[in-house]
Amino acid sequence: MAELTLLEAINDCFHVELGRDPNVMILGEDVGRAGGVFRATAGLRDRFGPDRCFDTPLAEAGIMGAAVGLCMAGWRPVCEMQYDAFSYPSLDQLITHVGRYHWRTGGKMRFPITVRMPYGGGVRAPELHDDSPEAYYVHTPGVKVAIPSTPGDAKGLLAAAIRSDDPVVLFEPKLHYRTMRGEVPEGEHVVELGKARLAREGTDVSLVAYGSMVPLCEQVADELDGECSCEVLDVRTLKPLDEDALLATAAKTGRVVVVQEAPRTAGYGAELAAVLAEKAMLDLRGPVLRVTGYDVPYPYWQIEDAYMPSTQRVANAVRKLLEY
Amino acid sequence: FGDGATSEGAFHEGANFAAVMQAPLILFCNNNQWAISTPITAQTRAEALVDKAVGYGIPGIRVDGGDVLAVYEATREAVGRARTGGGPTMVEAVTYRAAPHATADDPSAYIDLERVEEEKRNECVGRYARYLVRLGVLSDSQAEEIKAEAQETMRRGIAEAEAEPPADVSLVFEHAHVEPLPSFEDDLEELRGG
Repeated sequence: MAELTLLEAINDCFHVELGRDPNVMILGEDVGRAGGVFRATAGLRDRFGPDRCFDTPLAEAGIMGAAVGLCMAGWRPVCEMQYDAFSYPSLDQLITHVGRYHWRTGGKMRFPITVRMPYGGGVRAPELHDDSPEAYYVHTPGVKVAIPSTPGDAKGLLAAAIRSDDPVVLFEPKLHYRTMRGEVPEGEHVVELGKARLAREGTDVSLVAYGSMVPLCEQVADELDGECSCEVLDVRTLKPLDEDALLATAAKTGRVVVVQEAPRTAGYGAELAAVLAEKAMLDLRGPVLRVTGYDVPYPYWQIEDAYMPSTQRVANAVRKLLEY
Repeated sequence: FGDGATSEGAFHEGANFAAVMQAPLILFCNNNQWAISTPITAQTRAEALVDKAVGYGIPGIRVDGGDVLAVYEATREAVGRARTGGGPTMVEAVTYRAAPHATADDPSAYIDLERVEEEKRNECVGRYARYLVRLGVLSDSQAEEIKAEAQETMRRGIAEAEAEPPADVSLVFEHAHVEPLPSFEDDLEELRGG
């Protein structure tokens, strides 16, 4: 077992998966010669050759569209979108083709595409380098979505995505790329899609989150220790959602706070709240509260801390629910 | 793809990608000079769509889309190039749309109907048949036989498709995923009236 950063875990996964299956290949901007702007694909072009890890023109729709064609030729492409918001030009290809081609061909063709991108803010970056676009992807039929919060899960979920015959989109919390270290199993390591992770056990309030919001919730749990016992559920796969895990934590504590970095309206938190309202109504003592980003473009770095959900805002929500 | 499609960003990105990757691709543009009600002159300032090929660094061929043998030759050149590692070719086959875009379209609102009638005479199947008859390779009766056979095939195909039983509602969920979402089971049960 090694201790790796989130980024190192992703790179490790690639070495294992490209070594294991000759049909797995990576395409994206700067992924080959430079090993990726975050070095996530470092060493792969040298080890496996330019056909297995190649640099595309600056064209996200082209990357996504080319992946569809590559699948038809028997490849298992992993597309890197250099940053979250850079993926927007590829959304048409995702919605129109990636998500529906298997259906369109009556199941005759498969599209084992993995799309991965660094997402989220808190890194003092300019605009369009800090978005949380997961809702657009979750809402696309035919597409599955997962978001790791630990290095081990970054490797495991990426492996699961690559091995899945369905299109899977992964969002990697760039805030923790280099700052979070964790135990990462060596060699083949797969974390099954559709399974949440109980990051912390508790009895009074459930904090439900994903990505960089999970460590934030763990911090809140620490800070409130003594005042109340917080359970932290790491959703991990947004679609398909591990409903059993979500309903179990709601039944246990009766109080749920959902934390998401993305803007509030129609974010993934709303989906979680709806599922809880539908299926856990009688278990809940109080409303499902959401702590989210605001319905604004992600602000410039000098005030981004005001936008990001903070431990204070989450703790406020917890205390409000404790009144029920 | 048609003339209108060349304005889409995806066309540009795909062509550029294919050129950079030297993909064995033929970019075949059926330029019938109309995108519903938009004439080619409102689609591009380029004199010919095939001019775009220069921008991607690939060869382009412009051909009379109503001439079966000319199109065959142009395609053969492109296929040969692709098969021998020469990369993509853009083929622009120029025709003229002689029917409405779709059943809900009424071209009389925007098209010169006299021009349409004129262009109908260039229609490729009739043109090719007349050529073959002139050559003595095809007789009038053979031409009639081929036409009747084609229509019969079409009618039979339609009848077969219409005779198929109505689809089961499970088709709504089938093939949405290779590994279905857990929610599909409940959804299907609900749909069946459970």
